[in-house]
Amino acid sequence: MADTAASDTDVVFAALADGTRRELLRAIVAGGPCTATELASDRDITRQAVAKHLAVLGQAGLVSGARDGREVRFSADTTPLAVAADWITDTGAAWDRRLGKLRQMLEKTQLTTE
Amino acid sequence: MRNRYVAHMSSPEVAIPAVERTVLLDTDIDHVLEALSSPDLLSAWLGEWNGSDDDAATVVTDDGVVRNVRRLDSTSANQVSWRWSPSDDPASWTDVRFTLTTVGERTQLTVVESPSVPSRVVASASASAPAVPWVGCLLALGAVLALGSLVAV
Repeated sequence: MADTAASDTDVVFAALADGTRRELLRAIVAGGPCTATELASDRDITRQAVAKHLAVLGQAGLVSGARDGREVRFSADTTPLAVAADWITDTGAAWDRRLGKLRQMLEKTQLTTE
Repeated sequence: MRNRYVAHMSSPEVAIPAVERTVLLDTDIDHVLEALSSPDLLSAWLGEWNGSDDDAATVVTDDGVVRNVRRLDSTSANQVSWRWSPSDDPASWTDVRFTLTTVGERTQLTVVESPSVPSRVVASASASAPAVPWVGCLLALGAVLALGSLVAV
């Protein structure tokens, strides 16, 4: 069970694990394509730090960059969020079923021992 | 029943989304611990469990997925943890942690399942900025889910 080859869902979750990255993603979704310099100018964060966060978001497919003169303009793609939402929904439903079975089993064994 | 961000078990500096469920069971804590440890009892509620009481096993869950399971060290006697992954997709491992608490004559069981965090992304996240407090993450989760609803529209 090595973690060297991560699944798409893992990469999306890891990208969303950081509050600054979520904030940058929201800003790009709300404001449209923008550069790392523009994102840094509105925040108490360096352009270099923004670029690092955008790289992680890019690994997850949540943003993509397109060259615009001397800068790179980043656009948001929220499609990968659906993958993460599906995992949460499916996993939650699975545990609802499993814990229901656990409860039933414990009730039966309780009856047989009484 | 809720979903939330938790500190990842192997990388506590990083908060990641997790699924959490809590149930109150009409039995004592020892019986619940046995249900989480005994291969026969695990087979009765979780799925066909192949393996001894040792650290490694396989289980066929009710969705038909064969999962490889490896038990993790727990910080408390009232906690059971394992890491599992589909046998055909070992990179997609998740950590499952059960925490048991006595409530009168009953037992409260909380299960948290959290996905893996790729080590290279964790390293990048740690190097670029400190993780925000998880309360902040919870507040931000609403916004992320709002983004998710944009996808659905």
